[in-house]
Parts: sequence; C-alpha cells; structure tokens
Amino acid sequence: MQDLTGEKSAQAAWAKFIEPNDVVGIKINPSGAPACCSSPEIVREIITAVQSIGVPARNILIYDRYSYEMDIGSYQALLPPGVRITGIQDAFVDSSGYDTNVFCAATFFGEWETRSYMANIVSQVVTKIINVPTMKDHSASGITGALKNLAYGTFNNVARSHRAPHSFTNPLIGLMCTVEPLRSKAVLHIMDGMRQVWHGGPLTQVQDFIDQTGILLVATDPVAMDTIELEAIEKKRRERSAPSLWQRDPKSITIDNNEFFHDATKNLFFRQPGHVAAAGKLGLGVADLKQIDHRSLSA
Amino acid sequence: MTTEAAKSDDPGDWPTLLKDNARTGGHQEHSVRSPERAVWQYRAGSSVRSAPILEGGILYVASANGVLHAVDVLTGTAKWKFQAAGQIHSTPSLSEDRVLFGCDDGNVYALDRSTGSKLWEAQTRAEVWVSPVVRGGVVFFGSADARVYAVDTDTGRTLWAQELGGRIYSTIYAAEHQLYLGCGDGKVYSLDSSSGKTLWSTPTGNGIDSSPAVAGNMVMIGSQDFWFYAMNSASGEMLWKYETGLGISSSPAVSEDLVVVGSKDGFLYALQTQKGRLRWRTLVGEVVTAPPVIHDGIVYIQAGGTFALDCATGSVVWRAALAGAVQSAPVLAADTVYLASLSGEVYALR
Repeated sequence: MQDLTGEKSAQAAWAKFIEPNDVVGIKINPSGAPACCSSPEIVREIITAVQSIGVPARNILIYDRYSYEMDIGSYQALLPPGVRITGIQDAFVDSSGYDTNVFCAATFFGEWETRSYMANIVSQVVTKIINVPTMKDHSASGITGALKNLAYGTFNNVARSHRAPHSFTNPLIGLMCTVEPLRSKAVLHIMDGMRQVWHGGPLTQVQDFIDQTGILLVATDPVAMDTIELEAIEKKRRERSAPSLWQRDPKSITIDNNEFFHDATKNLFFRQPGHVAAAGKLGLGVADLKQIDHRSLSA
Repeated sequence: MTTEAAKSDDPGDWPTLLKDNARTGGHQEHSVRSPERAVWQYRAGSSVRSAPILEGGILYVASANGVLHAVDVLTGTAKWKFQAAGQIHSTPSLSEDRVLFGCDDGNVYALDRSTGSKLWEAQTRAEVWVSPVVRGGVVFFGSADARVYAVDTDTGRTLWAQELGGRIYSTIYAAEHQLYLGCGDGKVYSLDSSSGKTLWSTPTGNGIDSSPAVAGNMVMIGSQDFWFYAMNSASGEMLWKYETGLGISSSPAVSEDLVVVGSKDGFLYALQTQKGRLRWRTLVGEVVTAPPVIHDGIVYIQAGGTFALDCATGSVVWRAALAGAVQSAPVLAADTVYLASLSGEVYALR
C-alpha cells in the first residue's frame, strides 16, 4: 500500500482512500468457495487497516450477492466481531436487496426482463468500496477479476448475458462498472491471487486446475489489474498446454458440465476476455500492458 | 464408548446440536431402506439454512426469511408459523413445551411448541446462528457479538454472559458442569456452566464454526485450519488430530467408536475415536458443511444431494439427488425421511 501510494506509513496509505466517517463496503468474491474465494484471512487484514483509519467496525460491511455462498466460505465465523456481513440476496429470485431507481438496461437474447438493478448496499449504504476479487478464469467472460466482481456482484439479473455457447459479458461487465455511484465508490482493488484458477472458473473445486500462486495485486485501476490477471492466466494455460482463453473453436464447446470441469480443452461458452479492453475503452482504466505501471514486490 | 447425551435423564435437556452426538434430533426409530417416493412437499418460501427437528408429529423448520414453520407431518401443511424480525440460520431445539431458536435480529426466541406463541426472547448484540442448547433448566448459546449467554429456560432472564475472543457460530455442547464450544478466534473453549468462567482454551490454526461432540473424555471438533481435533475434555490437552483437504464447518457425529465429519473438500471422513485413525472416507459432494446423522449403522449427510452410507465401510447405501444443504440434516422417523433444502423445499420421503 505504501508503494502504491508513495506514502511513508501504511496508515497514511490507507487514508488516501478511506476517511473515518466512511461506510466501507468490502466486496468479496465467495463464488467458488471454499476452493478459491476471497480469503477471509486477507479480508481480516483489510478490516484491520480500515479500522486503523478510525472507521468503527459497525461501519464496515462485507458483502456479496448470494448469502449462501458466503455461508460456505465461513466468513461469518472468521471475521472480527462488530463488522456487518451481508448477502444482497438470499435466494435466486429475491429482489428485495436492489434499488429500483438504479438500473442498467440491455437486451441480448430477447429476454423479457431487460433490466439489472443495482444493490441497495452500493447505491445507498456504503460510501467507499474496497474490491477484493479472486484470480480465476471464467467460462463465459474469460476471466473474473476486479471488473466482473464489481459488475456481476452488484447488479441482479446478470446470468441472462450468457446463454450457451454465446456470451455477451462483453460489453455488459464494463458497462455496469460505469454506472454511478458504483464507479465512484470503488476506490481500491485488492486481488487475492493466493490461489489461481486457470480452468473451470468460477465455480470449480477441482484442485488440478488451482495453483497456489501466492500473489496479491493492489491497484486503483480495475482494468489494469484485470489485464495483468488475463496475461497471468493465459501464461498458465500455455504452460499447461490448455487452449487460449481467446480460442473460438466450436469443437471446444461442450454442454456437459462434468466434462468442462475436468477437461481444460473444453468450455461451455465462447469466452469473452475482450471485456477487459472494452472496459478500458469506456474510460474505466488502462488495458495496454505497455502503459501499465506494474511493479512487483516480494515479501 | 457411550454418548454424553445418554447421561442426561432430564427430558427437558437438549445438550447439543440436534440433541445428541449422533445428531438424531432426538429420534431413535427408523427403518433403514431407500425411500421410493415423496409423500409430500412443503414450500418454506425461502431457503432453509439449518436443520429441521421433529417432535410429536410436528416438523419444526426455520427458513431464512425469518419464519419458523410447524409442519404437520401427516398432511405436510403448516400448523402454525412464527415470523421473527430477522433471518434465521439457527437450527431449532426443544425443551419440554418450548421450541427455541436464534435469529439474525440478535434474539433467541422461545415459543410455545403447540401454538407458536412467543414465551420470551433473550437479547444479544449481534446475530445468533447457533442452536440454543438446554441443560438443567438453563439455555446456553453463543452470539456473533462474541459472547456466550446463559439464560433461564422459563423466563429468558440472563444468568450470565461471558465474552470470548471472536464471533461464535459453534453450537455449545453442555455437559453436566462444563460447556464446550469453538470460536471465531480459533480456540476451543471449556466454560464453567454455572458462571461462564473459562476453564481452559486450546488454540487451533483458524476460526471455528463447527460444533463439538463430546464422548468419553474427549471433545471433538473441526476447524477452518483443515484439521479435526480431539482434546481432553477436562484439560483441553490435544489427544490427536487429523488433516482433511479443506476447512471443516461440519459438526461431527459420534456413534460407538466412530466419529464422522464432513470437510469442505467434499469428503465425509470416518475416524476411530481413540486414536483418530481413518476408517474410511467417501466423496459425497463438492463441499460438505452440514452435520452427518448416524442411526442404526447408517450415516446420513446432505451435501450436493442426500446420501446414506454404510457406517462400517463408507459405501453408499442410497442417494437422492435433492435437498442440497449448507447446514441441514435429514430427520429420520419411522418409515419416513424428512429433508429440508437450500432451495426452500421440505420433502417427506418414504
């Protein structure tokens, strides 16, 4: 954090993003728990840092879309007392946690409901968001990183963007990230790359495709972060002789989930890793590796 | 080795999650055979995160939208419903004519079992996901406010409250004089049941939301550090431990010399209680977080679906591709199996 901000102390670095009177949302990614999700241990450290700025525990809210996935991750038990831990929706058709005044409208397959509503937590409750995505490939969007964690974890009715084998996660992911107040509130992105899923994401539990990479990415630019993630997962797939995330060979498509989860040459959709660059074109950040100020630190 | 619950003669006692070490919810009779059809299906209107319990022909089911349902098992219809002020993740428990449960509004509720009317509520400062347990006229429970509470069974009046080092999602095991539980701070605690004073605490490598079983002189519990532990119940001394592939939220079930527990690695593990040696392990889903139930040589578990396994070998006796669960457990009664699912459906299978 000191290197990211140029500040001399960790507390000063965090104070660049968070003020004592903020209500801080920590957007985790429990999807894929327990094999690969935002580590409660890292979330604990973030909570400690936010509290060091003077934010009381009751004003720290750890959230994601589905509460049952948070249950599986045991976040409730593993995080410190006082912080709030909330799922936006309890069940798949529960819309009570969404703000009907803030939505993103789009149609892809002629669906009846063309709106996706923003979570009340984001539109009305928190004043700042610390985004804690994981480092995973994604069967529909190519990767799931900072952008997708924000977009598809904030709005409802998003599964309609992909109907096998086609995926319109590009441009929907980037588009959703431009919607205010989400765009302005998401001030910091900390990617948990302790584990890296290079095939079968976002839900796989198959350890063959999960590497213990031990990486944390910290950024203010979600597009730059995801660009680096995309390169890392592409590199891993090359090393393991798996096809590129950009591959569009119809022979690679399967409708068998089990085959997909156990065969790195198969996929359920034509992936859309171009959603990262598309988000860059929407002004959300830098998608050109040559222009990204990427520094590596070892601990 | 016998289960501790057998030592309690008071019919009002409900000393651990689902009443006894076998996690039977109090039921003793069940014919072991594969169910063939659904007798009825009840929609709770929201997901069911906890385990139902059965008494007197009524199935008590807590749904996440804050409703406790009393379902008549003959008809599959609600006899009464109680709407609490918050979500419910707590597995209900029974004590004489009361049904008890915790709620996300920070209260533990006691309802009249036959009418659903509220008898009392006991307030904490954060959500209560654990199952209240009862021993000797006292209800014990932990809260996410990091405190353990002892309240009077008749009135809900707080007798004592003891602060621990983390959130509490582990249901207490109430022995005659001591309480045992895990805590989000990673420690297993033993408290004096009359005062709440800490008698011993033993650290593990990560937070705990598994609930302990106590058998003989051992406290057995899983941790999110991947390990399953057996500790001396008097001193907290580590007796043995066994490593699984991922964290353990599942609460162990004990029968004779076997302890069975699920892991988030998807396996159900059966360990020999004295030394912790592996008897068998069987893959039952992608993730196992619910408690197993043991009855008459069969282990039942809800993971991605519902499995019945041979206790001696771990081989699958029957399976049903329904009732995926986070913390729910099958209810076994006579010739019927009752299952509550994450999707909010409750099934009676025969």
